[in-house]
Amino acid sequence: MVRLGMIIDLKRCIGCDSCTLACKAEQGTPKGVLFSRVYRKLYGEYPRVKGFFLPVLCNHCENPSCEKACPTRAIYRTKDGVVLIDEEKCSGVRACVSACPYGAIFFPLEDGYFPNKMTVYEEFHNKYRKKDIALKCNLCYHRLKEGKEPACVVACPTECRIFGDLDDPNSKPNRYIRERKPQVKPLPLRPETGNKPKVLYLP
Amino acid sequence: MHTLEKIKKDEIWQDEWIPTVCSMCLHHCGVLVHVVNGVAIKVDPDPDCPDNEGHNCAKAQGLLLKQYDPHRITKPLMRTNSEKGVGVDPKWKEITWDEAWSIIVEKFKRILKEDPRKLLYAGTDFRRSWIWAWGGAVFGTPNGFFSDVGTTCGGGYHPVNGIMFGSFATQPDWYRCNYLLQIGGGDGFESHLHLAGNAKRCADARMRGMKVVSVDPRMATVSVKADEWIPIRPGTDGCFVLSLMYVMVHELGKYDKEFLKKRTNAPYLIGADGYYVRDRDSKKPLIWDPIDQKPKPFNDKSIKDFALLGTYFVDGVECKPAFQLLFDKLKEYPPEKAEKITTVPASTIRRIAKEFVEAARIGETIVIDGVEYPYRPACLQWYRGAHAHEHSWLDNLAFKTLNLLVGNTDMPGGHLNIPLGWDPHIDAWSLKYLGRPGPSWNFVEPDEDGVTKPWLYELRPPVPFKYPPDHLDLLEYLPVAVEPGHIYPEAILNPDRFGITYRPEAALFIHANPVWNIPESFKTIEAIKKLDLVVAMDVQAVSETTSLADIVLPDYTYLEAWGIEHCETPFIWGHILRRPVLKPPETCMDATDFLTELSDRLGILDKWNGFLNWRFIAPFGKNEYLLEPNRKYRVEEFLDRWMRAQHGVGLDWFIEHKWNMRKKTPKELYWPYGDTRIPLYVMCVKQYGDELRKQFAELGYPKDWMKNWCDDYLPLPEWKPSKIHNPDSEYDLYMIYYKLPHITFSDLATGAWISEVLQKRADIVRVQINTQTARKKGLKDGDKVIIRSKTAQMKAIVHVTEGVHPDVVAVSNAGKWVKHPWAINYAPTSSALLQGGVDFTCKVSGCPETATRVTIEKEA
Repeated sequence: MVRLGMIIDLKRCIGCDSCTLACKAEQGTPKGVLFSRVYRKLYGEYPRVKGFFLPVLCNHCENPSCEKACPTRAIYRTKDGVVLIDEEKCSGVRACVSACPYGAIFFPLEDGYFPNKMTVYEEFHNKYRKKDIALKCNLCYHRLKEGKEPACVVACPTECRIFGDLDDPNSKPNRYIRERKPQVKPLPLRPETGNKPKVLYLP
Repeated sequence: MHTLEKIKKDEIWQDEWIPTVCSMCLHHCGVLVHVVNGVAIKVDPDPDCPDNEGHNCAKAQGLLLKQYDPHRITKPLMRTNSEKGVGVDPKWKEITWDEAWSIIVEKFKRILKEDPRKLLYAGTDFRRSWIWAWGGAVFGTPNGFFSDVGTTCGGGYHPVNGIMFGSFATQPDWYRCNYLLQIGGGDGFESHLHLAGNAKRCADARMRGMKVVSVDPRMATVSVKADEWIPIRPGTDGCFVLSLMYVMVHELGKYDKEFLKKRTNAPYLIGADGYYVRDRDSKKPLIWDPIDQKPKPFNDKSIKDFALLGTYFVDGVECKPAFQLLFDKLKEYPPEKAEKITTVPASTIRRIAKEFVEAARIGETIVIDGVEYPYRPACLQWYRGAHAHEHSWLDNLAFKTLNLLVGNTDMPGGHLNIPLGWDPHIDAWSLKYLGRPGPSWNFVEPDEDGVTKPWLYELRPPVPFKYPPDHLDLLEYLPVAVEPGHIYPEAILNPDRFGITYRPEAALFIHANPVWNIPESFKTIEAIKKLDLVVAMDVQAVSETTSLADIVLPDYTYLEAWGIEHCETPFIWGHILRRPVLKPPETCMDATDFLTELSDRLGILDKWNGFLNWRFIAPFGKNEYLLEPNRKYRVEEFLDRWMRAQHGVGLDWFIEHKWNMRKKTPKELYWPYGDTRIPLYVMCVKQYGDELRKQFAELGYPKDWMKNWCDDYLPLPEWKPSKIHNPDSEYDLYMIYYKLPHITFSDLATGAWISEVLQKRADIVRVQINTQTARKKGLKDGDKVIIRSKTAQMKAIVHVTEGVHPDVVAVSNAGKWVKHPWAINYAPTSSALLQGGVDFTCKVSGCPETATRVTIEKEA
């Protein structure tokens, strides 16, 4: 079985938002929607302060609570494990938004980036976008079909995102985990949810 | 489903990934732009580009933001509101190009005839290096760099690299460095050179175990990622580093003596007058041979050893090796004293000094491609946070000197000098004299004393001493500086202070925003308001500066314009092509073509073509590519001829191959100096200072500022407090300013997506103050405050954090006061708060002070 997922090496990440912006442009997401984003966290007391950056996106869970919450069964998993929304079936109930423990599902605002004016760029995407439906990261499924990696992965200047089949011992993420020094165990965010994310972090 | 999957196949008439360069900073990473049905919908990194290692940073999508922002202008605009100022609507009216030409040409022609000094030019567009000199070299004004240096540029660091090493920038050797001490800079993490490529190189280095220590008043990205963050009081970094050297030299006795003896002028004997002591016959500088107990010319074949320390007598004159002078000077910087100035504990200074010198592995060597080099895998890297202060030259010299002490300069693992890469003269010079092609090379010609010749004029020709001055940036008195364009406003508003005898009348700004990027914005605004005609060329008319213009001309965007780029590449050499990805609107004009047309209408086309020939084509001796004096060439025709002259291939070749870049070989990367020594004792700066002092004295010091002008022209580093360190200041905090990875030039701060992302980061759009400071002032996170400095007051919101020095208010470059839906008006603009002008300028390097004293209080 192919189980597509991502390893994010937090030691590499510099919080530059290259992923955030690459995702924004790739997906042409409306205002207020950021499938990919980065948080900066500091801890400790001055002057002994430490910190880290935490890039997040949809975890493409193996046991996704959004899927279960959707009354119209619009959310489904592909056979390679990508969690997608069927736009035809989505009726905008928004149950998925509150069900997702990771805040990964969005409903766009009505307005565009500029008052009373849709840009040529926005129109390009809006023309084909159904209104009032849930939006989420699709792991750039259209790029995967072309043999490309997700936009956030190719953009990342530090190569902190390693994408591939988590079931294949010779996939990029599994090789990376094996070869990384020092060896660390990949961890999901909020494991207590039982969602079994397929985006895993190397601390 | 992606939009592309929803469009019917037969509706798609274009679906291409077109290679070009990102032009959102000066470094030009290779990108692929996805164009569908005439719309650029995505920027991907070019996976093959060796410069950016196949990735790019957040700014790359800025190409799209600039393209599709509804504020894009496509026709010339004229102001109809004669009142100018912050928040004043210019009431733009669209005019025809003919109308614009007639106004511009009439005014410029009169200035050209009467007094070209009266035109101010700011064409420092980093995406078109060939237009920089139009004002000076073609129009003939001495005032050709209004927007230069400023608060965001490396400023004084550039001339210092040029003076000492014939280079322009620097980098750690990411491939071999094991210990990176980073002070006030963002290299590899946040900003400065080639962010995308260096972030990868730096991340790889960290993964293989490179230790990172970050010295910075705020918790910068490098501090977050570092093994250790050492907060420091702003502007005292030089003192910290001098104290590190104190520990290395006076306590540990560890420094690279071999390197200093054989590869620098540290053993040269210096007399009481501060100059080399010379051999009576050959006039060569002398060193002391401690084995033969006598002086010898520095390159004498019989030298058995070089004395670094001691006092000697040559022809009855007392002298000391240059290193002894440094040794003595360092005695003033014991860690206990430095602790009081920097707030860094003495024990930390001792520990870092020990770690650094041990990591440098003095004495070890490494063989790379059959060549044995000293192996020095420790590097001090710094940038403007550390040095962009009033005594920038001395600070920079301190940092350079620490690297020299461990012998890591241009050695594997150490501190690498990087050329600017824009100057075809260096390439031609390199080919002719060294038999190797540029532009990977520093300018490394030896002077007659065996030391690298200073390379000062990569950006401008020398300006002879003259009083009264012609240059509003006083270049007559700044023989080794980068152009301090930030002095213009003071010189315009207060000409008598400098003896300036004429009144500037017009300005031409091309993608320039001096109001945003030079200190004391409100003074800059007042100065611009004094001009009769301000012409700005840009793709929007909303910047702090264009909104003061009388006429705004519509330029091509960087998705529409041609270009050939190469800038400060650390590990690559060669050029990369920018090609039009989209068709420009017919009513817009490429800025280069505009200057060609303007030159023609002013009757100086021969000068413009002559300049382009001299600078870009003639150095390569292929006369068939020279531009004819009076023919108008499109920018792509000029670029084609330039490339054919320099590389033997034209734009058609670049269109097919994208770039002719390749990785530098180790031989090209390491120690480019051969037998030439590099200066530990920078005598040429002392010499320039002495000459300047003499010239001021001969004039009889007509102006008060001339008296202390030359105080910093010193050959060895020291730390002097700046005006910002005034202990009696009524302003209790220091404001510092930092650059984000999202924004280099001011225009991206109004980029919709970038602004949207920044506004979710409180630490970035709010001003950072320490928890202790907040408590003392009764402020809490999210409070609205007023920041006051001597020059301005600005509104802000506080972000209370442990990650900033308690003496500091840290402000990012996200703030804009312009009217644009994505301008972050609630973030302050640091330039407005800074004090500018001559008094806050390094008189050696031309660098402006980029920190200031402020108070902060809750908004009533």
